[in-house]
Amino acid sequence: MDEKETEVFDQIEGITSVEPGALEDFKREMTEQVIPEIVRVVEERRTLAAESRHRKLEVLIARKPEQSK
Amino acid sequence: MYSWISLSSTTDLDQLTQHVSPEYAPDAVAKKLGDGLSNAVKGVLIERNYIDKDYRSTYYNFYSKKGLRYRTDCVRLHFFDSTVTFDEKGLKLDSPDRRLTDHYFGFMVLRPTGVATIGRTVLAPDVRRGACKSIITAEHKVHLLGHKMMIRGFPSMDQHVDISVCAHAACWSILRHYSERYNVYREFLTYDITTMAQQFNPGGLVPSQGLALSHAERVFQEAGTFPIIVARDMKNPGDLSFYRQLTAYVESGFPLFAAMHDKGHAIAVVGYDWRAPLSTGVAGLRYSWDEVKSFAVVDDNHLPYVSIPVTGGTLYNATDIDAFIVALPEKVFYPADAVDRLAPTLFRIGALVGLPPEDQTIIRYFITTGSAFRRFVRLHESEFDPKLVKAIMVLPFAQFIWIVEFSTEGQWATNQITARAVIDATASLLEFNPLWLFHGRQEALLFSREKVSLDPNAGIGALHTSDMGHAGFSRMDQNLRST
Repeated sequence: MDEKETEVFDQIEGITSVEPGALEDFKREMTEQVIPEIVRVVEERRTLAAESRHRKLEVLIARKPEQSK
Repeated sequence: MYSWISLSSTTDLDQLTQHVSPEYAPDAVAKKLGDGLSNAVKGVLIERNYIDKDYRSTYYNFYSKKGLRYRTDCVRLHFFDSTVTFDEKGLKLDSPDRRLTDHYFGFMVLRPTGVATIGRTVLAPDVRRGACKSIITAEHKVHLLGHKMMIRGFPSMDQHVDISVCAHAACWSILRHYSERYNVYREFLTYDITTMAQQFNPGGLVPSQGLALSHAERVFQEAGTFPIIVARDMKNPGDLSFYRQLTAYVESGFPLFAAMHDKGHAIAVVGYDWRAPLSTGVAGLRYSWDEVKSFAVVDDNHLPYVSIPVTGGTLYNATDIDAFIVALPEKVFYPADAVDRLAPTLFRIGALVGLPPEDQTIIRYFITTGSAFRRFVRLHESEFDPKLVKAIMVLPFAQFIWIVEFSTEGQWATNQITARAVIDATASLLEFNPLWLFHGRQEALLFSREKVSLDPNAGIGALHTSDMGHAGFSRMDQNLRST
């Protein structure tokens, strides 16, 4: 930990370090699967947004205010 | 200039036709109000010659240029409960406790346009028959007869039909909410919205020829927000991530501009209702979207807070929404798509904080501010070990954070959770660890995020906390108003 991290964590009573291997599975899954998937999903969603961006809500002009039932 | 109508029930609203000129279409307005308001409304004050800034913006730029002469003034209706009285001679409004605001249900401006006359309206969700329980609201100031009153609600209006359409009305509603709720956004009038949608002033009736989603996006950009379009994958009917994100943004307190291209309609989604808690006994990871019964929408063809079901329904339902725009503040870089994928991955370190089994968990995620989170923790500090409270107070959160809450079915039914993760909303997509905090009832993981480090174990701390003797932490539900 560098000086700044020590400053923040030093203010928290009872904080302990985490075993180096404890987050290993999480890190591996994030790096190998989750992040690539997030990047793919976000890119796909941008493509979908681009496709929908120019679909006109044109029926709206003809839509008359409905009377409540 | 002022008249009072006492109501024994909302059918007495028919009296509006005796007090309001035909160009304000009082009969259609009375019918709409009679159908949609609860019987808690016992008095209506009619304020004539009211100058409405939104109508005037369309009058100066459109109606005044027509051969047909339109009035310049509007009528404003104010709704009160049974304790309020009006002295017509002395023009004096009164209530026994002298706290008119507490007995005020909001107002509705009527425009002199003959058709679609309902203008700027802010109604308390409490008096809207069938409204959802959780609604995004802001306080709106109202000056009336020397009184300054506040009404909490979401703005709505009918589309003008000729100069603006439903998409303009939805943009206007959302931006008026923003200008009242957040002081960083300015107020935009109805006519402003019609011009903001285009690169140049389209003039005349062009705005009424409909909008594409890109135009609405442009309106929100022009207004100083950072809009994101989220569209459903139409080739994949099982794209539930779209609805999970829709739910998450509404739960975050962001009203959504929602498009239903097949219906040719646009609305603002402004709230939701949970379904009654179910004991399914079926194993499987669920999300808050799975627990939604209905959404509250502001639809310019109806009074505000129309409740639309997830499926079925007579008008339309949530599955008719195929795209939405969320007008975000600048500093939300980590999108809901990323949180949606990251949240279930947290089960890999779930054992460290005591997460329930993945297939018995309901996940809920939303955006809030670091200060709102700290306020929530302070309000519920008896639920937390003081060490954890202190940690939350000193962790240097960014302005916006994603919160992911994990609950069992039983906890969901009682608004409780087992564990909570705090994610940096300014994180980049490639960060393997965008977390700030992940805490359960007896363990917490803390992440300092104070410098860029390539060492995956740097800046991570663990905190063993005392069991505070409760069955779960309170769910953080403070972004929306309960009706």
